[in-house]
Amino acid sequence: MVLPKSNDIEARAFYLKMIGDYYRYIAENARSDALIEASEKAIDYYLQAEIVARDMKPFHVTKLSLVLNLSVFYYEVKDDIQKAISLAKQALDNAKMQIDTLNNEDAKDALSIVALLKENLSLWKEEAEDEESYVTIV
Amino acid sequence: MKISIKDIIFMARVADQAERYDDMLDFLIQVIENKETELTADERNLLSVGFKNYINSARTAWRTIEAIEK
Repeated sequence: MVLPKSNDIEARAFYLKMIGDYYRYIAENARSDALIEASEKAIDYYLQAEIVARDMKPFHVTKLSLVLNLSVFYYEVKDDIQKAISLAKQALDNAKMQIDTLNNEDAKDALSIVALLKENLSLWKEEAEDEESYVTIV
Repeated sequence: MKISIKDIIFMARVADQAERYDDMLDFLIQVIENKETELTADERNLLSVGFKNYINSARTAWRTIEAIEK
């Protein structure tokens, strides 16, 4: 599949995140070696996307989607609920601080992603509390 | 008669509505290969939606089977 590489930061972050997503989907169904490889590739691309998105505003749709998917990756693939929680929480905190950078068109999309982040966060926190002693190994 | 990029994108949207995601992706790949400039945000979203829906049937099928296994 030929994915166009672009000079526009938002586009590059978008594509890198997309590649991360697809490795995540592979990882969902993979076992042992294939799982390890897909998992490492997913993280690799998500982190590349994060680096590109570093200068983007916290309320930007692409940046928020990236954090959402990355946190879901940690929860579902890595079984690392604490990391998932901290990623989601940090993104929400940053977004709250910069709420005035919103313009109206993107607001709806951004807010729906924020809602998803919040929903995941509360589900995960509940689950983390229910578990007795939780040891995280990454 | 030459078909324009705009027409192909229109067809991709039609395919999206018709839930023919394999067709949608065929159209989008044509756009990627033939468009001289970079994709717009709208076009990127179409691409994302197309791929996502395309594999979602496989993903949900997998989850169903996994649930049955348990």
